[in-house]
Amino acid sequence: MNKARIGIIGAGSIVEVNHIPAIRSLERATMAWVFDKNPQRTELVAKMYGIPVLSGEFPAAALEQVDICLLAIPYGARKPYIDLCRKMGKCLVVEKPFAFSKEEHLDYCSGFQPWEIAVNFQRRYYHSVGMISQIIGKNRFGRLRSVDLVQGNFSLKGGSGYLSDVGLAGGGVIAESASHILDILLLVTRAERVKLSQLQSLHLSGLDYDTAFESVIETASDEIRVHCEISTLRNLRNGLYLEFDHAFVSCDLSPEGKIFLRDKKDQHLEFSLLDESREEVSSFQATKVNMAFFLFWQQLLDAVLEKKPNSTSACTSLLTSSWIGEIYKKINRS
Amino acid sequence: MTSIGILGASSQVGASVASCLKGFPDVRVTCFIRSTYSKPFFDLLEIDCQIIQDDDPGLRDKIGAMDVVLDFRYPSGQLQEILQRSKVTIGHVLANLKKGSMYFYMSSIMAYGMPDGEKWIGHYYFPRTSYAYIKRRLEKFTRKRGKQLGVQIFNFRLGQVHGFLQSVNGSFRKKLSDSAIALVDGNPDDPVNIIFIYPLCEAIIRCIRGFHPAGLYTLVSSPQWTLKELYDYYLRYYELPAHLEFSPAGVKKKGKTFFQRGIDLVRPFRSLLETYILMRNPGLAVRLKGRFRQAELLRPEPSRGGERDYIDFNLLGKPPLKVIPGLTTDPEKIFQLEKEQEEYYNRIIVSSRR
Repeated sequence: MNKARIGIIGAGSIVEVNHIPAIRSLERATMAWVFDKNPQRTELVAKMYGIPVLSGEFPAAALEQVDICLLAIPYGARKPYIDLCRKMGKCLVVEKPFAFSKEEHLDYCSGFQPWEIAVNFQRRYYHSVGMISQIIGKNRFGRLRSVDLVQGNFSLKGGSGYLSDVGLAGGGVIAESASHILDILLLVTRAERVKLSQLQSLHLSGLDYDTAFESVIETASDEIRVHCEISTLRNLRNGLYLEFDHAFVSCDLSPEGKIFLRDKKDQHLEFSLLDESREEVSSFQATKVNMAFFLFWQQLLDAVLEKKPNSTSACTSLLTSSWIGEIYKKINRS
Repeated sequence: MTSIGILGASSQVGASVASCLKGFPDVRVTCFIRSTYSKPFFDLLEIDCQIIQDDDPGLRDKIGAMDVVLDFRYPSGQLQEILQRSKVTIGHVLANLKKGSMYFYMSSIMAYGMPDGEKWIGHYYFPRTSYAYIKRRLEKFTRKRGKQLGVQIFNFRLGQVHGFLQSVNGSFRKKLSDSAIALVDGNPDDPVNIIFIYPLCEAIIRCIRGFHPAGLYTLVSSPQWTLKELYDYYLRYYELPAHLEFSPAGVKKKGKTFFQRGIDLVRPFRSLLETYILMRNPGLAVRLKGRFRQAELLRPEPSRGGERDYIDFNLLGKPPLKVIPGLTTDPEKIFQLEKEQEEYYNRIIVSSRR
């Protein structure tokens, strides 16, 4: 293809603020149309970026005009569009949360080639994520023993109402927001399996508000204890706290989040990446959120062109869906 | 018993005020929310809450039953729509209030109209930001409509609101955790324009009790905290070891290219352009916004050239308009109140997990 033609379903703020500026910055892509069930939103985004509008009921034939479809609508409304893209052989980018079980994840992926369906886990391109990944992968401070993952930001905003509806949102703060950091943790630890043990949650009608849980991540050679605390009702000491054999490492997981290292006697440690590691983290360049979206789309176009899955292809986040699914199963039983 | 209704109760300040006001004697608090998402918060704290929409036909029954309404709303949407939309929703509320009731319209202290990046507070006759322009017009609107309808109007301009549920607390915590030496822009004894939730609630109650007449007030700690008191508070609250270094930023003129100086010359007018031209040209505003976002993505990060970064922005100086004196402002007392309230709140949340 000369230029990848992209169609956008859903014109919410993430599309307006992040996706479209990133796509518009790529010479190899062009936007074919935008569609949203709310005509005011469609019109606004179309006018803002000069994109053709699809109005009325979604015309399935419009998919013929595109190579890639971005599906940025709530979880519960996606299935018919996924089915349609599969049927018409279109590549698909889906917002998170993607799925709530391994089976559902595989079901969505079936009928697509691995490079044809991606999940917008763009935070995988954060510079801080690349650094943490290297620290763990190179065993610089011995084996990783345990992880504390904390995300607590007080917010009661219901996101145009869809966050109040579990049928649309799929879950509460874990699905809507923390799925990113859970995904990152599995990525940087090179997890092969994850087992959920204890969980306590403040939840209502399937929406979680404040949850603490324990898990064990299994890698090729190790087991890592994980404690997670995720809340939308409390402000917490946010970050990823790692305990290695010989050091403590912490990071707030913002794109250019600083990484802090202390030895077991609480003394500050210096750290820099070796040359070969710098090479390995060359794709982790995003030091700003919008840069992560840009990299996501840039890498996606490469993957589609070369017909090779990349680091955000849906096949790489099966474990994330599985873990989130187990968490919600336990929440809904408690 | 005074019945107080809170609009915009799902905002950080609205929710915190609701939770704190509940502890004051002789008041009954009702929170009005638009979606059920925030309901568990109010249920846990045993605060009455009701779902309400802007065009709710039952508005008169719900809002009209209140003696006092606190309005923390600020609609989302495109800049040029906010003023008109706010006038409609505020007008609707005022029209449904009973005669003699009180309406508190909340704005931030940025309603004074300082240009972006100005660190000293001051009254700007022509507001330099669209936020200030909108808020000042709405203050005028509430005053006028209140007079027509016999509703007492209190326009509150809130200093930066601090409290354990506010994101600013998290921001101070993070920034002070990230640095061994925290560089603060200002002198230790410069006054800061902040207020904590408890004194804000005290101010509301004092107005309700008739100690202060209807009018425009700036809500900051009075006497004001100093910059040093503010940063010391957070170092102590979160037990952080950072060392504070106070150094007021000077006027930087040297070492800039011709282009950078040109940008600096135009920068103060960006918000003026936004306020006085783009708000009247919605089509142009929307298109420019799209281009701006794309340009931001492609813009290389500015080189700091060995400059050290200040830890945060703080608005300094004494507010030129009326403040409410005699509130609880002693840092030690505020520290105790915040700790007690946060511990109590956390206990409720954690014990409600199952």
